[in-house]
Amino acid sequence: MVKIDGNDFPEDRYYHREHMWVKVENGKARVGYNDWAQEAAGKLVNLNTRKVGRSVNIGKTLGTVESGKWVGPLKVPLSGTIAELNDEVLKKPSLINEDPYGKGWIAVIEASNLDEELNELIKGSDQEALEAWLNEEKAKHGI
Amino acid sequence: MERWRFIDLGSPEPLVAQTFYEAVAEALHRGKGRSTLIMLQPGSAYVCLGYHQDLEKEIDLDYCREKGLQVIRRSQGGGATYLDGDQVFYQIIAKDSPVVPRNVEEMFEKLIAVTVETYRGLGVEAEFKPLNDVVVGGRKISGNGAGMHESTSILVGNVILDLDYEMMARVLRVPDEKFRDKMAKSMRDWVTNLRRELGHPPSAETVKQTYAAAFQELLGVELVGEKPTEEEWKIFNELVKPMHTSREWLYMETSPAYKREGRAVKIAGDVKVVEADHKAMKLIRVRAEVKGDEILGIQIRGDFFALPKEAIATLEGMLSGVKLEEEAISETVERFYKDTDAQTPGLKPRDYVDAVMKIKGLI
Repeated sequence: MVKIDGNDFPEDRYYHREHMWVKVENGKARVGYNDWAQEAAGKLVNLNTRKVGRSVNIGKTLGTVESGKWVGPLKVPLSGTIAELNDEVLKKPSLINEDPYGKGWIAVIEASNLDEELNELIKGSDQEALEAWLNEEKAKHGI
Repeated sequence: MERWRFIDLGSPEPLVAQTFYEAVAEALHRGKGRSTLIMLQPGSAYVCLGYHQDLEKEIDLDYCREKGLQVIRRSQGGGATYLDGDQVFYQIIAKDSPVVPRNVEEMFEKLIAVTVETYRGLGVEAEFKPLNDVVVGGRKISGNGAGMHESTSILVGNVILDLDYEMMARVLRVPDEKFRDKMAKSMRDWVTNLRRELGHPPSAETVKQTYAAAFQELLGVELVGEKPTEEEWKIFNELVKPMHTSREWLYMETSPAYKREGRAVKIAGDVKVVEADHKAMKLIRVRAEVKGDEILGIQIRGDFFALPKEAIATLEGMLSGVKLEEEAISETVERFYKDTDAQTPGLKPRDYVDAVMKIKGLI
């Protein structure tokens, strides 16, 4: 497990720059919100997503999350079709805070351009690239 | 020193008051312009729904139609509220600015400090109350919400000159009028405004000047007065306005987390008025005012009998001040039966505990 400034970034995932993680499982992609982003947002109370069967494009909107009085976007980390949504998380979005990489997964995407788009994501095993990206994020906000 | 734009929109119509900043955010995201502070007063009254809320569950639409009040779903979170010209809005739209932290807690603390300073400048002893409130003597005096639009961060909030408590309670959908009365009273108890604190509110102009000065001083930025650009008006007219006035947006399907039985209205901070039904052998309806997980006051009604008939009032009294925890509630209910020898045919102590604990699921 890679830890960057106290936040977890498991090595077996890929990371989209808009704070989504991807885990490839038999050609499909399980996706969720990363640990740094859930901590920055605070306890999540609402989650809305596109529906199962919808085709979605990388970088576009997958849904929205709300913590207290803050609403933020969830971006699509890989193009494809939404094959499954996590009903437990839809009912109880704070599962994302409790277990962002486990019970807090959000959707499974039947990826349409997996190999090519995975190259656009940051590999969890590439700690240097992950750190560089998070530092960029922090620098933007003067952290 | 960062230079920000300062746009005074005057008193525009509700849709501009509530959504024009989204056009500013989109323009900024496209790489045009600078971080911006907008200030305004709504030109007329309207009702504003939180992003993830269910329109028909929250708002008394018939009443709003009758009064000609426009209903707008904002892109920020939080609860439904009645807004009018007695409030001065500030809308902060920033991109890649060290002034605006990405961490939501830090962003609220840093930016709401400006609101606190503004109230102090106006002569009111305001304090910041995490997560996102400003309070005076324990009462909320400013509402704040935040969000992101693409690469931009947004925080919107208000300085409240005066507040129409009756209308605040009137525009919301409630199970019955008693619930509304309870809500209106709770709002008076927990929300305040400048007229109430000072006797007479300052002018909107004074508020804007005080806020802008505090903004520059506390955040270390320079505000430069400007008008909205043509590009921003174009985005507003072509994208923002059509979206916000569409039926699809207004009646947006709500998230499953929101679909719960019962009714909960947030009053201020962690104070809520909540009602839940519990079906045992008989129906038990519990209505409570809670602060965090503490019961401030509670009413228990239903189609059950209790002997003696004053017994339930005694139980209500005993539950005030008790924490919404299974053990504490259970202990109180058992003590009630023991102390009063009350009879509740068809209902067991357990049923009352379950009914009260349903409240917890709604807060």
